[in-house]
Amino acid sequence: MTRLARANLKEAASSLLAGRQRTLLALIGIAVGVGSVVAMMSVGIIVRDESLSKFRELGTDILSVSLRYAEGAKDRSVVTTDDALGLAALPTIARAAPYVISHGQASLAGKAVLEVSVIGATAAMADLNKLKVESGRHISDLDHRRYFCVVGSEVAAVARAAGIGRIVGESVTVEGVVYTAVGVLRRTPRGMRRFDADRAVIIPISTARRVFTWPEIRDITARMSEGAHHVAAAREIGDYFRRGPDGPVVRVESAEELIERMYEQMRLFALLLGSVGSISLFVGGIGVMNVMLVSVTERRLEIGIRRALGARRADIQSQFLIESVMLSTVGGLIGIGAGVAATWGICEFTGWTFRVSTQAMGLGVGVAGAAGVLFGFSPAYQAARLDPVAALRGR
Amino acid sequence: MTGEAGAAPAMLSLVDVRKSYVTGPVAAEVLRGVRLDVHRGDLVSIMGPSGCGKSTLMNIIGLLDRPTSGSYFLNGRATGGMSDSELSGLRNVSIGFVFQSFHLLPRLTAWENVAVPLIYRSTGSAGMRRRALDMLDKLGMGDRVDHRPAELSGGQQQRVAIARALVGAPDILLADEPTGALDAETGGEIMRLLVRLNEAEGLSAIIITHDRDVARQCARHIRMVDGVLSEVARRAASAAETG
Repeated sequence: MTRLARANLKEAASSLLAGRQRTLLALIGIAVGVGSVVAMMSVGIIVRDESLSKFRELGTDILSVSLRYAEGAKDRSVVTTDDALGLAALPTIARAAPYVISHGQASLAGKAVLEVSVIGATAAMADLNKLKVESGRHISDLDHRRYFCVVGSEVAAVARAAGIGRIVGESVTVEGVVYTAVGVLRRTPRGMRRFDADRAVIIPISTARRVFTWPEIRDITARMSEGAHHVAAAREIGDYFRRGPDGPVVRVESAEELIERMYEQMRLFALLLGSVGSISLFVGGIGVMNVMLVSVTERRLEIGIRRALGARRADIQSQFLIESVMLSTVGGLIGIGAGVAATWGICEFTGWTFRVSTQAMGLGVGVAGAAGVLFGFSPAYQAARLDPVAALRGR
Repeated sequence: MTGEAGAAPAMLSLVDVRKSYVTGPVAAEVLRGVRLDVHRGDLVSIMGPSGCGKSTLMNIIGLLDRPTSGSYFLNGRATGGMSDSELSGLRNVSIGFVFQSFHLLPRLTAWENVAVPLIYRSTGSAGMRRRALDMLDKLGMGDRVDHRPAELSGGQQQRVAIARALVGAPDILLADEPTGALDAETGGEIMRLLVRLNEAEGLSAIIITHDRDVARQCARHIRMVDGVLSEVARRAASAAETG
């Protein structure tokens, strides 16, 4: 049987090469169809992974609140730390961590200089953003207006490279202000956070409000109460900060909302790819059937000869099925390439993390093979049912 | 046309075989009660005008077609009730076809063509290439094994076709006008080859021809007219039959 298969494969390849143009058209149809299927499934898998990672990153109950003030806003419209902390009193909100953020050059013990984000934070910050210390401690609410800081892992790495062995207790200068390091953060992937914790210097929010040029609260990370819906929470937060005509514009983002938006986008792509895919698979399949029907007609004599030499109907049938599966599999392989390329394009467009899914490729091969069997069956059956006497006469 | 009384049972036996085709309102009877016994080692020629039913008879003997009535025994087994798949298997093992226009597969090389019958053996076909090469060598085609049919002369193609017919060691070779597409000289060579195989190795063969010279070279000479056979000549048994 393996010998038969090998002989058939060789036969099939040369016979397909003989009918070049028809073969090419069938190939294109199958390739586009399989490509769409592969892209559709890849995008699905990528979106699932992406949302899972977002979920794992911070939890879907985390909200990012940003406040944007109008030009020349009056003092009374500015949100204070206490205002922001007051969010926690809302029924949908469990905890709130306001923070202020600025950028500057940091140097450690007068050495290593690098660009960092300076974040003025409350104690809740580390918890809600899932930040962990590698040594020392986090900023605490007891550090009120003190010049303490916690440095990110990359800042610490630069300091170590510059020969500073123990960072806790070391002085850190940022934009001319000197802080004492009380902790070092572990490496933290950026994920959904608005800042890069690895390149951050975290100081007490009270200190930041004294030091920074624009100390108003613009960002709050909040955790929803159990069972709260992000839409309800966003509405409550909006109401909470509504303060007259020149009050801040409030935007609330949640992982849930992001994931919802992502899935919506994915459904759109899936619909597009699904319809393109099924249409072109059908067209390609008809193409395969056409190639095979022509092949059967052109090779009636060959079929007769093979039957005379002892080929069973099943042998003839499998010979032509192998040929059509081979044709569609080649189309499928091209399609997998096209599908991966399309997936890459979609990821570029949406900003999702591109990756190659072996599952999707497997599905592509499967779909191609199935198309080959499905659309090759009828021609192969016709070939097998030919009367050998008539076939030998070439009729 | 039955064999002599007391002889070994016939390898191939047709009993009152009839074949009719329904075309339009009337059924045309092409074979009208054919009786034929062929023993191992027989070299039989069947001659007759075109349209007398030679090809139909050949297709029935070759198990490509079934008689409308009558029986066909091959090695003592009745073939009438066999399924298409059984007939294919029997064709593969017992029958070797040689056609007027060679009917080699154009995309395969000489040795691959010869090996085709072995592909369809259900038993493993180890040494397929070896067997094909040996057979080609035996028929004087040992130096052309990798040529495709288009690169061979008519006589060479027919030798490859005979190698293909014999590679599976069939019980009988069925040759339908084997020299019909060849010039006199090449056709003579092919006939001498078949006669030699018959005499030296006891090859059993039925040769359909309209060439008197071809028919004369066969030990048994049968004429076919209007769907019935009549044995014209029967020479003394060939060397293989006695040996």
